[in-house]
Amino acid sequence: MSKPVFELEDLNYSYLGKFPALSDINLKIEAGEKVALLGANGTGKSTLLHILDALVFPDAGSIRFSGQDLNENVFNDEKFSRDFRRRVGLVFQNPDVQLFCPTVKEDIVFGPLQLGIAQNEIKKRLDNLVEILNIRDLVNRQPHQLSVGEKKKVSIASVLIIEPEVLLLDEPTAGLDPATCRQLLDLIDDFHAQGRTVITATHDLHMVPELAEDLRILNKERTITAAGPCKDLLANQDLLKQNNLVHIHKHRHDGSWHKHPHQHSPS
Amino acid sequence: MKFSHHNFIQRAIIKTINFFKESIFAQEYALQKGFLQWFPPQVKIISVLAVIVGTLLTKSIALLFVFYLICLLIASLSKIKIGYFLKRTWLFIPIFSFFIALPAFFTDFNIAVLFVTRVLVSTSYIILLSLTTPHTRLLKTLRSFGVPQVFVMTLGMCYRYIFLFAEVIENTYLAVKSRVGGAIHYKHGQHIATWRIASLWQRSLQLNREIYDAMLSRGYSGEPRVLDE
Ligand SMILES: Nc1ncnc2c1ncn2[C@@H]1O[C@H](COP(=O)(O)OP(=O)(O)O)[C@@H](O)[C@H]1O
Ligand SMILES: [Mg+2]
Repeated sequence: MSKPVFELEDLNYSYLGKFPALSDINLKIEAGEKVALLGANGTGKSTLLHILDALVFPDAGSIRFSGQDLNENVFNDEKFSRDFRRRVGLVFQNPDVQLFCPTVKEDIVFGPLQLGIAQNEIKKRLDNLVEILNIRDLVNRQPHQLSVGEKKKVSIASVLIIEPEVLLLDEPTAGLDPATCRQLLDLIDDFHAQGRTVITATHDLHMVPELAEDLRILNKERTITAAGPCKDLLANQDLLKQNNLVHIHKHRHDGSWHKHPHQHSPS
Repeated sequence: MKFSHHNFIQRAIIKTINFFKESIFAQEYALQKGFLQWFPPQVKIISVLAVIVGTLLTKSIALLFVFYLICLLIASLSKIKIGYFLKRTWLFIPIFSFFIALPAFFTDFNIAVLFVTRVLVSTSYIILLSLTTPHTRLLKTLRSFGVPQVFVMTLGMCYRYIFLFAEVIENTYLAVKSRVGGAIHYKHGQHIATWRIASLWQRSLQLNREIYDAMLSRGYSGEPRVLDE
């Protein structure tokens, strides 16, 4: 049996040593899984993705990628670092931080160029992605001229072009219109169907059944409280309510106010 | 009285930001079919550099004025509205020269005038260049002159994020205004301004860190590479 893609044991992380962001995380993700990290705002989803992408390293506990321990030292090895960056890609929550080049095209090809992928191959992939995402008329524009949805598409393209084995997505559907959202979900599906691993952070209950087969729920103590298949966890209303994941609707009946959780049956 | 005084400052700030944004990000002239737009960027950059060297070497104010008139002539041939052009150049002149030259006005008036005129002519030509050439092409040209890619990339990023910050400042201003309804008491306004600058600083540090992470994540290791075209 092959080793899990990611294996985290009793992992803790805090910003500047005083703002706790993750506590006692135990997480195992196998190759080819399609997982969502679900949690309310501030439960540590983005931080966890940054840990998985080895941008920050744990204060305590351990993280292994395909059996290899990840820490600052191993990333001093240029060969290992490049290999890891080729195999794992992260789409950031804020597309503005990911689009730092003068033109959209330069942004999309930035990753593969840094990773030493052959120029011809890069041009081929670029052409292909631009077609699939329908962004041909954007390639020569400047990132600051784009709408939020367009920026999101381009930042996703800039990671997909690396063709990583593991795709990490931070709130990918936030701010997208329904059609673009659909397009993105189909793209994630295709990506997963090629045997790749997809890990998505979201607080949006509606998107979960589309984004993932398995679920990890983060709570306000910033640890994982529940893990399992989507359909089991999403049926557990108490669990969802405890973790601030259910919309509370408030409306009037006969002159008095009623509050009740919004039901979204994942049919 | 303090009221209107403060509002005046606020309006001035927002106006300056808008002007700055519009000045740096103006694209419409670069895309028109005028005289200068027709030249390749390499030729333009070299000519502008030559003119600047010339202005620094000459001591004749008359000659500098001739240079300046030629600049205005080329601007109008390049379909740039003269009023617009003057406004742009004259905004930057005091920033660059006036304060530096100020002491000299009291000692040697001629040297001060010479200095200010040189700055006027040089900045006018640089603005002419930037108005008639899309900035992405300017960056590519710098690269073709052998300027290191790290430097070109940094310039490009400055340009990119100045725009983002102009928007952040504008949005914060609008948000504050909508919350307090336009009229802000002087003391309170001062407090907001301090807070705004502090938070802007915080945000720029945060943004800086995140952009660097985004670069690392896609394999950046200190040596930017570019696509051959
Ligand atoms: N740069 C930072 N400095 C200090 N605290 C931070 C920073 N980034 C995030 N945090 C804190 O870490 C916790 C987890 O944040 P984050 O991972 O962004 O959560 P999520 O993505 O689930 O909204 C939050 O309490 C947040 O305030
Ligand atoms: Mg987040």
